[in-house]
Amino acid sequence: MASRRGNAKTQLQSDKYSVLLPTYNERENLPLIVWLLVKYFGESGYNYEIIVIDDGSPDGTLQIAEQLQKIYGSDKIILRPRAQKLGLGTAYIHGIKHATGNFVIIMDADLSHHPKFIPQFIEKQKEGGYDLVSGTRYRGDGGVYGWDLRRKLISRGANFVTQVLLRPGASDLTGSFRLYKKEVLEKLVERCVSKGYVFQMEMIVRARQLDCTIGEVPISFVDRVYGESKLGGNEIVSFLKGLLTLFATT
Amino acid sequence: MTKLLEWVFGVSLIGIAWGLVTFDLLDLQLPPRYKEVAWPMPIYLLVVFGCYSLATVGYRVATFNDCEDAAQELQAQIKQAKDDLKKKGLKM
Repeated sequence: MASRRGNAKTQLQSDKYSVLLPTYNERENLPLIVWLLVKYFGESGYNYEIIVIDDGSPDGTLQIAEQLQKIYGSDKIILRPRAQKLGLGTAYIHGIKHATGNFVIIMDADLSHHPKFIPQFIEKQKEGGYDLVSGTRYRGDGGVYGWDLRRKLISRGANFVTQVLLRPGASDLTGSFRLYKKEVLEKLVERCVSKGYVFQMEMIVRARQLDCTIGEVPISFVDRVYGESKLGGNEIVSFLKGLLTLFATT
Repeated sequence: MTKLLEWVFGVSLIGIAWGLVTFDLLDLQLPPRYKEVAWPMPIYLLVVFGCYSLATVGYRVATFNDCEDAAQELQAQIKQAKDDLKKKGLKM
């Protein structure tokens, strides 16, 4: 392990990892997620940058981000705010435009995704030369914390229906903790039309269509915000609508 | 071909095969045993699939990992992070 870390630091590092963090009202969590990212990237020796895409958060997220920039440097923390809350897809497009890395990592900024898995994503990608590596809660020792039976049932049920209908070749389609080759992410985002959970599913489906290779890494998902299952009827309906659309059009 | 078309195609193939055997459409003179077996097949397959689905989802829910350790580790690291950031001058 030590020699591998040594190699990562001393070899000509042409690989750079851009972490895209779309934020909305994450004043509390942003410093914590940044601290964790800096910790794990620092320990692993990989070259990185963190791009914060704040959608005009009224709680002062951008001001906190500016402080973090002063602490960690403007080469490591890059701010690309937007005036108002726009979609996730456009946030990725906006972020990619300013990314100087050749790999892009997308994740949630609310601490449900833990940066400790990022070195594992990177190693998995190197191992298989994958176009994208997806964090999965459903395989290996992946899992969740903070979900009641109802939430787990909905999650597994929805995933099962998706697997039967789409046969996507990936175990966790609605997950949003992934590593992409930059050009792959660009290609996929411009082809995707859905929103919300279905957007992440569509990314995988389109990746399959384009014959992209997909690797998986088990992750733990710590649900602190939605502990009491804010997954209501509306979201389920729109998920099913989106799933059927993908079923009929891809 | 879209997934929908794949399904329509697959179901049609099975449907035609079933129809041919059950209703003797090609006048194949198959032994009556074939008809007896083929006739309830669609219902039978649906029921089998239904049971398989319930069993699979049930199993997966039951074995869904609960990441207690991850949650505790996160709590500890949050404390660490807050202390360290305060030292570095962050005003939260």
